[in-house]
Amino acid sequence: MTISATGLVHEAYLKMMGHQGWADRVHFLAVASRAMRQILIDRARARSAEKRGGSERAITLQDDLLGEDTADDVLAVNDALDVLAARNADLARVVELRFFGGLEVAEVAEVLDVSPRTAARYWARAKAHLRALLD
Amino acid sequence: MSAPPTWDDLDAALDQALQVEGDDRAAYLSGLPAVLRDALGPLLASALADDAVLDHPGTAFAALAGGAAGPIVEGARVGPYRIDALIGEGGMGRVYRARRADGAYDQTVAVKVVRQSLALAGTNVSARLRRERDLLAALDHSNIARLVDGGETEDGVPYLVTEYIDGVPITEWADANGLDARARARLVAEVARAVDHAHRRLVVHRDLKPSNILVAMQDGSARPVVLDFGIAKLLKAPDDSSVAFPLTRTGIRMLTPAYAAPELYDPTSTVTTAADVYGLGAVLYELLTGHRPHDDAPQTGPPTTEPTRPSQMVMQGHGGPAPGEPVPSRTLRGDLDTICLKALHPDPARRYATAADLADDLARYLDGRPVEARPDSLWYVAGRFARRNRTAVGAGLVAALALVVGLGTSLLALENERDARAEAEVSARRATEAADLLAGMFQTADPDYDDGRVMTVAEAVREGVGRVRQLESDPLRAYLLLVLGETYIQLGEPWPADSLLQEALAIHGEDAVGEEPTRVRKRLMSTRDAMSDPERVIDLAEAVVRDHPDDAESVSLALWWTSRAHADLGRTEASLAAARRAVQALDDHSDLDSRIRVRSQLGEALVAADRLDEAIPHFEEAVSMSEAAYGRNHRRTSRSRTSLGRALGLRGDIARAEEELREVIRFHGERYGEDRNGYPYAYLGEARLAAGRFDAAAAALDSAVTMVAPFLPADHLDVGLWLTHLATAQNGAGRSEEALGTARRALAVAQAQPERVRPQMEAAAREQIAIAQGQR
Repeated sequence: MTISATGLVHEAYLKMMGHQGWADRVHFLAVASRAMRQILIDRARARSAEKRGGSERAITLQDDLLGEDTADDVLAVNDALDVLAARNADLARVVELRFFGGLEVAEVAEVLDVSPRTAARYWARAKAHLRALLD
Repeated sequence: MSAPPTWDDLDAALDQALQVEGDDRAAYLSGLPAVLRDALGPLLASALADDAVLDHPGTAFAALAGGAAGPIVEGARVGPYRIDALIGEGGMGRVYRARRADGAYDQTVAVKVVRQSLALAGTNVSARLRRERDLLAALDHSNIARLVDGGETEDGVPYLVTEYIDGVPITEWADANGLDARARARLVAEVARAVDHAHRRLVVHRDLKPSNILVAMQDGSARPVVLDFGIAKLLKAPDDSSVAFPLTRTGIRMLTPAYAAPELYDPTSTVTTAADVYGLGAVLYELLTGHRPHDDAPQTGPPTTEPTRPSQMVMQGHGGPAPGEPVPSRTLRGDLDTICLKALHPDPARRYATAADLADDLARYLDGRPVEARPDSLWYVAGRFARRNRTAVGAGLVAALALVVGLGTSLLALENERDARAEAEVSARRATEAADLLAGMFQTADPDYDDGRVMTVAEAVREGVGRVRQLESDPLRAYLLLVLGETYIQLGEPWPADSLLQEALAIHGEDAVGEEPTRVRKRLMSTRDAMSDPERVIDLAEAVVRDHPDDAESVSLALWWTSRAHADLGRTEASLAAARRAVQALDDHSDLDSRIRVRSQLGEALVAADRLDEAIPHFEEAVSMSEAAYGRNHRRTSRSRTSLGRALGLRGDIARAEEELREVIRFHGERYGEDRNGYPYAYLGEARLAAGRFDAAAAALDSAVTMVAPFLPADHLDVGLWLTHLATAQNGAGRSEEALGTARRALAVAQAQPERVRPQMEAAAREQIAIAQGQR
């Protein structure tokens, strides 16, 4: 993924400045991850739609070479995440924090109030299920 | 247990397996029922593997939170101070005007109440405050607001007390007093000296802007005062590393986009005095032009370009009525332009080294001596180009850009090696590797939504093209033209791609046979197609088939393009024949994408030949192949399903058509947004029209035309078709007033079409006009 992380962080930050009074750091991280997911998805949608906005012809021209598409990857993860959330909300939260929020396993553990070992296992499980949904 | 395991079973087993390792894990697995173990295998593998997508989100996110302290009301006490009024609010907290309440001495002060920063793991707020206080106490300068006091309230909220400055922001003051350019420059020079004073005491301001620089009248003369060195960060003293300690964890910085140096956007960069030089430059710029150097729009991220020259900014009268625009353009041209741009250079290393240097250069200007700043020479462009983009683009892309720019040079050097053939071969191989690397980088870099970035990639490619064209070696030049052509295709720009590829083919020779000419021809088929040159597509495809009769993938791809090209030329039978051959060229072991693609094209060719009954099974086959490979929610599946739905509708199978197209609309709506459904709605409208459901058809077609309006040119062929259908539906529903308007729009679009389709479309539109008028 080649989305400029710093630009996004800045945008997410500005977006969140609208909120007031974080209950605590953990709350902040969770909200930040959610905001990040929203921004990434909006951008991925915009990008995807741009390609689809043209004629079928323009799409084919790109498909011919592009192969897997970053934006679609992100959107697919987002969709798969919704499916996973219906089955196990905790696992889905881990993905939101890790993938969209960019948190380390230790930080995920803090947010979920579990041991780092458990958080790492959550992540491994979530990854496996997501991969199965994505493939 | 012979029933397939449920998701919960699998997840529980996965959790168990992950809790143990090595032999224990093997033992656990071998104890599982076979059906569960088999299903668990791939899951466990992906759980343990590094996932190419999931493990590399590329979004580093560090955190900073401010638990906002509640506002303090008038009359409240903060330590020994009584609050008069709230006078400001910033990143670090709120600022109040206050006076000493215990009567110890009578002085109006500014009290800054610091937000509690809970996000800073391990950082003690009051310790942080003490550091800040020590820093500020070291600053004793008449142009810097003095620190008076500091402490904690009874509730434990930290606060700082500084000298209260009764003044107005520097820009307002300059405008109100009608200062000329020289007086404005003099003010900034004075501020720069104060900032330099702080810098020499290892304090960086980081947030210089007009609202932080007030001008106060004192003893009859104007004194600019810098406020709020509150987010100052201690710099590392060169001789004593123990003085250095990070005040914040690497994290998001508070910044004001219009005045923030580009490097401040990168949370990992070290903040240096160069950021303040930039801030001073931004203030000078605004004082001289009445405009900020860059727009303050947050979504644009850090500025990656130099600002417009001040003299030009003033001349253009940019952005409507500016408050000031006080200085005539000719005054700015030359030295003031140069000084501003040097202070605002995107690359910190190219700004003034110190705030004092900026002050000195302003003094030289004021004295009429030559300034030190010089406009950028071309020499710096390449290096600056990469550096300037460092904050905006991923590291990989920067490397790719540097490579494009550098590639030509190194290849030229290689060429100059007049050596043995062996040597030449090595060189050629190295060049090939370099070029492949380059192409690969662009593929992974995949220009994103970001306009600025697409621009910079495009710039890099243009640069690369220029250098490649200078190469003397034909094979090398041809190869790199191909690579650059492919890069343009990646960028979604078939036009430049096309001319580069034509050039590459010309070097090889129109009849050249070989792997590389074939690769050029394959790409050219797509660009010529985009350029509406079907005859040429067919010629190119013939050459590919002729040269590689045994390469099934190549033959099938070429025939696929051929089929589309014939269809464009209205040659239905030829298109159908090519599509059949394309399908036959592949077998069950061929690449799945190719198989889906040719299957769909065969369906399209049959639709064009009005053989709908034969077409539908091919679309069904394409949908089921795609669903098996990619799942229901995938754009490929959705694309095949769109074709299927359309064919069903044309055949009059309205119920199934509705079902399939609604599924497409659902998926597009969920994934891309509700308004990305122009084509499916159009096909839905056609199906309803064919079934005689006029009102419903009109509704769908109307949606289609509205939805594509932002994306398709108003005179696009499809828009013309849909408008004609819409008019037909409206006539059918007896809505002749609307039908007349729609049909006239359709006629206008028809008249813009090429000769091939214009007569039919015009006739259809006129027919609807006649019907509508007849009914009136």
